Amino acid sequence: MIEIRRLSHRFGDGTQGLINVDLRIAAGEFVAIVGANGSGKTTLLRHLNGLLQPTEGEVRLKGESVSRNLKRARQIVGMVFQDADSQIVGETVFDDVAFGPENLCLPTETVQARVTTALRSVGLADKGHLRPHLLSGGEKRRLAVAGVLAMQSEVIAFDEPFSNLDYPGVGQVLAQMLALRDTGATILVTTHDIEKLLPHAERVVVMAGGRIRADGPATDILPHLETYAVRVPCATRLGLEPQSWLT
Amino acid sequence: MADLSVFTYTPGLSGLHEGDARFKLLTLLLLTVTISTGRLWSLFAVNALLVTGLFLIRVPLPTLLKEMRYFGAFLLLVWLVRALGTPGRIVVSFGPLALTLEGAGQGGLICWQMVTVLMAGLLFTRTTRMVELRAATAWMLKPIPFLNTHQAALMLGLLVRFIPLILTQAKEIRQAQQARGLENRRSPFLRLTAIAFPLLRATLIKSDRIATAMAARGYTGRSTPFNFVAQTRDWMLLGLATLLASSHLWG
Ligand SMILES: Nc1ncnc2c1ncn2[C@@H]1O[C@H](COP(=O)(O)OP(=O)(O)O)[C@@H](O)[C@H]1O
Ligand SMILES: [Mg+2]
Repeated sequence: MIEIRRLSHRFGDGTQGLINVDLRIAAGEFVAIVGANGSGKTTLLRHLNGLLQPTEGEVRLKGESVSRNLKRARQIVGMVFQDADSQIVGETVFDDVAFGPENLCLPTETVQARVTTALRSVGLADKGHLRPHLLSGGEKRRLAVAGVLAMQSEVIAFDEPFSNLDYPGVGQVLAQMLALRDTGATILVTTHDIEKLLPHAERVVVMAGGRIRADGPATDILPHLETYAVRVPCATRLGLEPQSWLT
Repeated sequence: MADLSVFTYTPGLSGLHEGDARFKLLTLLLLTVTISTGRLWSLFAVNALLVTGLFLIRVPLPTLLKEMRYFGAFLLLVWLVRALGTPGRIVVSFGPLALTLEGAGQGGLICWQMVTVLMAGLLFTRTTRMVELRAATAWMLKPIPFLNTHQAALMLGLLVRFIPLILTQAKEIRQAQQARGLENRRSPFLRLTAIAFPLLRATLIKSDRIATAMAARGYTGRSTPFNFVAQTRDWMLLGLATLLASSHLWG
């Protein structure tokens, strides 16, 4: 599904955001990308839909290079950003979800049908007429997810989805992610705190200093996390089974 | 800085909300023309129409008055300048300054016109979504040659999107500065720069985030065309506004 080859990114000011990243992700995988602040997680995600262009290397989606067709890349990869408020572009919940499909220039009826379906699947069907800024933190994230669903994206990338969320908010977003995974979507989640994802992520990719430092099943990676400035969950430290935040 | 939340789109199901934005925009223009002629009875008529509208969409009066307090102060100033600066029959005088009857009347009329235009604008912005406004503007600019209506409408839409953002940001920064005792500083220059620079920075950062989020959702400026549906009531509203605007021709 996603194929990243020798990807490097240097920012205008000379900061090396990514160095020689190689990563392949198959369709339907649920991948946690962990790393300390500044390790390059956000930069990596932004290459998936061409928000950033590689300094070196290449990103391919289903065999075709992202930079060759940005419109296609942005339809395939949906993104849920860290700051929920600055993702809102519509004046009502309904309009906000319609923004993506309208940019695909779909006919009005198709747009409306997609928005209705998307709102229903994130449980915001009865809030379509509200102002998005009035939603709770968890609801805003779900609104962003609905915006992605309405574009029928196959890959959904969440950037630090648990930041600024209260306990119920984390539960809502986590449940939404798992529901998406069950529909066959490919899911990438970045976080600096692996605990909330632990029992669910099959694969963990560890980043530090713009490089991928470890990649594999959660059980193999966990004991080494602290080497990369990522907190090891209490349960793992105590030798217990990780518990889901959903229960 | 004033918080202008009453002037933002507020979802609702009134006839004005569901009306065709092209007709609403034309009506707004015609009403502005009518108001600017300054004829008393047409001003009354426009006011009657607008007050009915405000009642229909249930504008929260206390919030409106609270947010308009600076505007009220401004109106008072406008009125005073007129009332004191127009020659005529003197009502009271303060040294060299004299408040005249004619001046008070003219000032009153100007203030009334301004309030009326504001009310019309309020009705329009509260009931019209940005997408509709954008589409209506593009429709209206279409006959103008050599103008990329798409781009122009896009600019307008972005402007509307960013104004509340800047206002909210300004409020947050001012409160943060107040919490750190900025009010105790005397220098107005210092007070201004203490807010202006963080505001500029925060606005740029936030604008950048919004632009990125829009790009991520495939925004190129081109999107599904907006379908307007005009109903009888839209034509009726426009007819009424045309009648009022042309009243000086026949009355
Ligand atoms: N626009 C930018 N200009 C310059 N440097 C940047 C920019 N964005 C991020 N960086 C730098 O790139 C590195 C990786 O950042 P980022 O991908 O945001 O990390 P993470 O998301 O893991 O916290 C950091 O050192 C950061 O300071
Ligand atoms: Mg980040």
